[in-house]
Amino acid sequence: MSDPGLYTHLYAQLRDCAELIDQVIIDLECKGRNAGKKERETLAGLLRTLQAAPTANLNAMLLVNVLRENRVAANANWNELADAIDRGDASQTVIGRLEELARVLESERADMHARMHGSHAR
Amino acid sequence: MLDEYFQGTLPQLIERARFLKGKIPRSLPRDYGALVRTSENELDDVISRLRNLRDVPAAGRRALHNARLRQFKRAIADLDHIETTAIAVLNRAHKDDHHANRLLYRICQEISHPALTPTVTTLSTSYFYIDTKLNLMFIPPAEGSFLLHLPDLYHELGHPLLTHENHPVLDKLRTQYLACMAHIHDYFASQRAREGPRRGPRAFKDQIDLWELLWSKYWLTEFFCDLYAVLTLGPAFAWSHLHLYLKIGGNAFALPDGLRNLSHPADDARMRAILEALRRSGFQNDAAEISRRWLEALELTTDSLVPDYMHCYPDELITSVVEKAAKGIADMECRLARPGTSDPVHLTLNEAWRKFWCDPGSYHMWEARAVQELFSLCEGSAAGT
Repeated sequence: MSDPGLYTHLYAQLRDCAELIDQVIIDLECKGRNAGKKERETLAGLLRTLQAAPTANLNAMLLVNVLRENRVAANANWNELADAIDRGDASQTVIGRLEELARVLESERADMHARMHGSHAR
Repeated sequence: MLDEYFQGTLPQLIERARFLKGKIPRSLPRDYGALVRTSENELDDVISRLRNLRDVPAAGRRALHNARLRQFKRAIADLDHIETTAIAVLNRAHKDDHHANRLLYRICQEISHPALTPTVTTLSTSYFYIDTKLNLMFIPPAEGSFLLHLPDLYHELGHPLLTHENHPVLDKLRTQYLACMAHIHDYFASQRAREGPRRGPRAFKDQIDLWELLWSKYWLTEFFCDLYAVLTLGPAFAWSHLHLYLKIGGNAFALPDGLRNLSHPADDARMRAILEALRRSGFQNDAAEISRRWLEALELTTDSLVPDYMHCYPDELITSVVEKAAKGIADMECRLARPGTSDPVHLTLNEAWRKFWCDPGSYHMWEARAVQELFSLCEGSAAGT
């Protein structure tokens, strides 16, 4: 397989993961505790897998790789963030941590999109 | 500002997505049905996401606006992607694509491929690859008329098997894939502990971090797809790998250096896995012959082992990947290639390489006839379905 295929493979995963985090941010910002429960549960579950056994799940593995590549929050306590999301905690701290994740994923997604379409600067 | 911008752009983008749905031709052969449906679904999804963006309140903290802007960018990226891939392919479908689609359908039938047959287009500008989201395979325009690289179709078929979730058959492969991922993690952790203090911790740790990252992000997928190809097709895939290496390969033992050799494993490491799988499938003689030719090819190119190659691609990991991929593929009940396998496409692609080595000078004449026979066979089976 040439490179575009490998990138489309990862792109869909990155996009879905980024979409999930942004949806939770928007829900928490707009509705707080009443935010959509399904997305919150999915994200909290993903973060707990990230902490406990990232190799057990492809999405968690992807997230680990992206964070490692970007040298972000290697020792972060993801369980703590998962608990806060479950509670519907829309504090500045929680949103800030989600925002950091979202920014890293978006940057990786945009980079992957450029590679897929051969417009990467390198 | 964002709200004013969205007020102007969102209706226009929604209209663009609707317009693209209208551009899908109506008279395509049924091989394109799945791609048409996927394209329509993806466009509907983009339209829905753009409409949702209109409904988010304008007031709020900065994080809310940042999230909305990111969602907007993703929707645009997806819209661009569908327009420039799926819609372009559907609008430019022609006879060569139809042949390729029928061939791929026949291959999927032969090997009991456990997922939907992808749509094929001959519009590739970059060798063979597959868009797993659209289930759309790209091959170069002339490739469908020659046999020696067609084994790569089997490799591409492997990719979507690793992306579907909640599928009772495909989960069997995914389980093995994740087990490999855990093994990779453990292996490199032990390497860090063992080699770090001896070599000077920082530089070597960085190197191991990069290897582990590339194994888990890209290489394991490539190994699994190679193994899906060789286990379902047999020796022809190994020959095809040698062929590609001689035509366009770099250093067969190349290690990633932070900028280069990132997305694909080293060609020699891939060949080691492929040969191991062949031997396990009963093709010991073929594996020995291909191995001999491979060593000759390495001598021709003067590629040789580089320091740390075996640390990055240890036998332990290669063997484990072969074992686990083979188990996953067998558990999915795919038709595995054996020396006595007699399916027509399987026979043609393997025979092509025998003819090639047996009488290289007249191979192209044999190939021209074989391709015509293959097309006839596939047209016949398409008509019969």
